[in-house]
Amino acid sequence: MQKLTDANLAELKYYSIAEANVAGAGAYLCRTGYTGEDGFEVLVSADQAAKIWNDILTAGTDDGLITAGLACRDTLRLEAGMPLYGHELDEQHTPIDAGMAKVVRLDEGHNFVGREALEKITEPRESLIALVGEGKRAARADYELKHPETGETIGVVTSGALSPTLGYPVAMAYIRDGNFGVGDTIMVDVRGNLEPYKIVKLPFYKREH
Amino acid sequence: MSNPTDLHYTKEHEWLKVEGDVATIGITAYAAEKLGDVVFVDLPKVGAKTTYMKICGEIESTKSVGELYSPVDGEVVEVNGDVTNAPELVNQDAFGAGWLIKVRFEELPELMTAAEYDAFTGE
Repeated sequence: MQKLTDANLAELKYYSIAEANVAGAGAYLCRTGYTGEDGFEVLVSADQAAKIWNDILTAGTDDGLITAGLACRDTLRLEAGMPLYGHELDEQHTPIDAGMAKVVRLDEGHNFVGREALEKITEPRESLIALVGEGKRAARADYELKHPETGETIGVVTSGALSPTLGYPVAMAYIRDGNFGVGDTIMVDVRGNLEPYKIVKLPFYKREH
Repeated sequence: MSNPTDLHYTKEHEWLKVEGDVATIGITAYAAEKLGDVVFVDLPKVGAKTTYMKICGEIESTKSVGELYSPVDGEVVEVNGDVTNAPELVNQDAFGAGWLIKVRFEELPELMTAAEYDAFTGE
């Protein structure tokens, strides 16, 4: 990326944004990307996008740059334990359920839509948990969590895949039975077969800085 | 990618190699490429009965889960244990080492030739 821009990338910190010239076009250059990895997102006007994409591909050829699609991005963000709207985050769960209470400011002077509703909630109704499979079968979104003894449905998987980085299945899920915590094993109904999954801490994987 | 001309094909992207009354069955290279990296293969057991176009197994990739439809009525006589242990064989050699099951059948249904399958997949 440095080959194509006048911005000093060493000074652009993780999750920062700068106005920059990228491949001859005005752009916003962001050290972001929902992957858990280091990288950049480039915001440009639509008519410049194809040219800049091609320029980036050309500039990166010698460094082994390859393209990746949405499924790659989704497994990376899952490995990094990053919640995604439509999966871990939706209109049925509060930020507290999703373990994101720390990004919600309920102290004085911060008014926002939903504040009143959140103030009434003291305990999460469901908890977002991280699961690691013991077999090879991936628990995928919408598969049900089952109580290991009673077989009762106790939650639902929100994202899941066989982690290409780790070599075993990982998943995030909402569980509504508060008796299970990190270290416990529950079952996931993988298309009719019950597969054991252990509750672990997030993230599944963290890159070395 | 070329589809071998000595095989038969189905619309569910399986191939069959017929030797006497036994058909060796796998999924095509086209299907394997569309699935992406295959990470898990669930196959029927030896002795299991299969029914034409009924699900008899699963092929799971990093992206999705695909179902294996039996292309014939019959009985499973052999299962490829290598592919259960190393599912990536399906991607590496779909028409060879990545075969899935062998089924003894009485009658072959109508199947596609390689040329018909080429046309079907638009290759």
